[in-house]
Amino acid sequence: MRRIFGWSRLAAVFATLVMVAASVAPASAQEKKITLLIWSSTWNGLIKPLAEQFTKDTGIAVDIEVEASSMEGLVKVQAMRGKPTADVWFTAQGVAERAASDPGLLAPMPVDKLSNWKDVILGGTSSTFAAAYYYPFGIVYRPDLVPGGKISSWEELWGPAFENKLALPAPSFFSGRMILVAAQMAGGGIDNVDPGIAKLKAIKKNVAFWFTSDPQARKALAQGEVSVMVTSSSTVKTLADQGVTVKMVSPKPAPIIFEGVTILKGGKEEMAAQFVNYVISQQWQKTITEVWNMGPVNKNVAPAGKFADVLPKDGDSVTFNETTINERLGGWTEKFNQAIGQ
Amino acid sequence: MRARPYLLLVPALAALAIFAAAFALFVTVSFSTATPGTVLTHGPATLANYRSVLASPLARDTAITTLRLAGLMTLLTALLGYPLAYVLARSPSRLLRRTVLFGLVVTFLSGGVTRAYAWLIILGNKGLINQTLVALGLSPVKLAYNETGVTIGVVHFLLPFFVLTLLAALKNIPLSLEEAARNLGASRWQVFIRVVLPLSIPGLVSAASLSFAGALSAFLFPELLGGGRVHMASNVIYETILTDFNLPRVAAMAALFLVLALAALALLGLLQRRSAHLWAGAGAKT
Repeated sequence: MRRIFGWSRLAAVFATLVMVAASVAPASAQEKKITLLIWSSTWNGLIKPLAEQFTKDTGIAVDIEVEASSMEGLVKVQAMRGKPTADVWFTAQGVAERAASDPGLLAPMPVDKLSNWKDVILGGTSSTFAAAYYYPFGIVYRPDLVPGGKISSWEELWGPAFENKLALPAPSFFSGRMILVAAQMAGGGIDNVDPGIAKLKAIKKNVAFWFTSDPQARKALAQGEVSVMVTSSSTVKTLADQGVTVKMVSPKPAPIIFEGVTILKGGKEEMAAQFVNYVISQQWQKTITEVWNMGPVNKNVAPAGKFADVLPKDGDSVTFNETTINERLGGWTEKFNQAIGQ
Repeated sequence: MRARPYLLLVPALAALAIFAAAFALFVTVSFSTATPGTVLTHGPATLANYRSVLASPLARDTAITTLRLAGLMTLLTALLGYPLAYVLARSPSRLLRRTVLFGLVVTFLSGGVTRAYAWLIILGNKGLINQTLVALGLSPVKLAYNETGVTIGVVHFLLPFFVLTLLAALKNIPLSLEEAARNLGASRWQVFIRVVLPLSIPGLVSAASLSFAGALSAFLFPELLGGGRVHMASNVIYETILTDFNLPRVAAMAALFLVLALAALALLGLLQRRSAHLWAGAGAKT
């Protein structure tokens, strides 16, 4: 045993490790590869085949790291500040805005080098963010499980027919949009969410669970555990692919949410920018709206028919100030948890 | 030459040093101030975050809920786990021992997420139990997405830890003591109550302490089976960081919950030492 742990052996092992590390490091630095920090469902359902095409075209390989939510992604991005293990981060617009407040995290979009930048719709870009798609936040339901097979308004969800039948997003999901919708319904708004929290408290009996995991809620809807899930339009497509028939309605007030990409500061900004340019390209946007059932952000691409069906009517959509949400969401969540806790 | 065996401690000490440094950094952050709406923090050092957490009704309720549920989960784990450990230690049936051990090991090896989803299939609105109740003409009951579901999930998770810890203590009790009691006319029940149970109490407290620590830090089961209604410490810390993104305040909240958990565990440690003296003799070690 003594010989095994002799100093000379330890020194030899250490020297070997150093040599191996030294021989690997330059190769890594030269590698034509970018890593995406992305939601697993978005990667598997949408981006994976597109990324393969990107690799064919550019020779840049694409790897991924998974985030459970935009906010969890922000925690990861902050933790790897300065030396990120990812290069392109998929996130919600509001979270990107919060991340942009730290000058060490996001690289500015090299607008001059992005040929498709000029085609992005109004509101879909900022100096550090490019939207990949937009969607309405609305009601996805099983027509076979709801009375009359149809839902037309938010208010219906408060009715006795939905007792223990709703899966609603917790405040950490969709950055508190459920609170904001309820607040607008109850005569409040972003400056006064108390009526909304009181309104959500009144729906307690109808809520089977407040979800923090999209797949968990989708599974519950697919299995008939719940008949309604409040979420984004991509759920319709995901469930349809699993053979589950669902419908979506985006009644007033229907928040419109942008999600997209940012470039992380870490030395691979140029390759990451090429990827961003592909994301906002006509070709990818066409796939995004047709395959993923989301709104295209490229002006030259029309929303797919199925997506157009779930868009809110004129005048029903609403947008919220992301900066205000970022500042107040923590306080709203605390009040909400106090109100709905068991 | 004698120093060489201590070289083996270097990796463990290095790991401990990293943990300690991370914790020190985390505590340092708790004394800074977050810039609202951003991910940035700034000085000077302040106790404002601690004051804010201590004044928060949600933090207070979370602390109470966490301690109450952890206590309940530990109690239920002990009630279910003791007979299983006793069977493993004393049953003459090899088949029974192996079956119980197999059940525990399977539980031990299956992932937490798998178990949580399995419980949802059993406890859900359309789960096995409710389908059976409905088939029998009874009303369904709400077993998932509440404290009941979380408690069942966590107790199932803790059971192997409890049983395997207690098993070691039970096996250390000399069989000859039980045989002597039997020879002196005690019934099986009397032997258990007056010999085995008192001698196993230090081990029982050890196993309960481990279970209590596991219950205090439960995250996955409250997250998936709690339906957003069951606020235990880890989940509230997680949600607060995802919505407030006030790292200093979250760090203060986590530090306070940690102090509370350590105080509870210290109390259990004291109980363990007292019980060792009382029931297993002054020289007893667990």
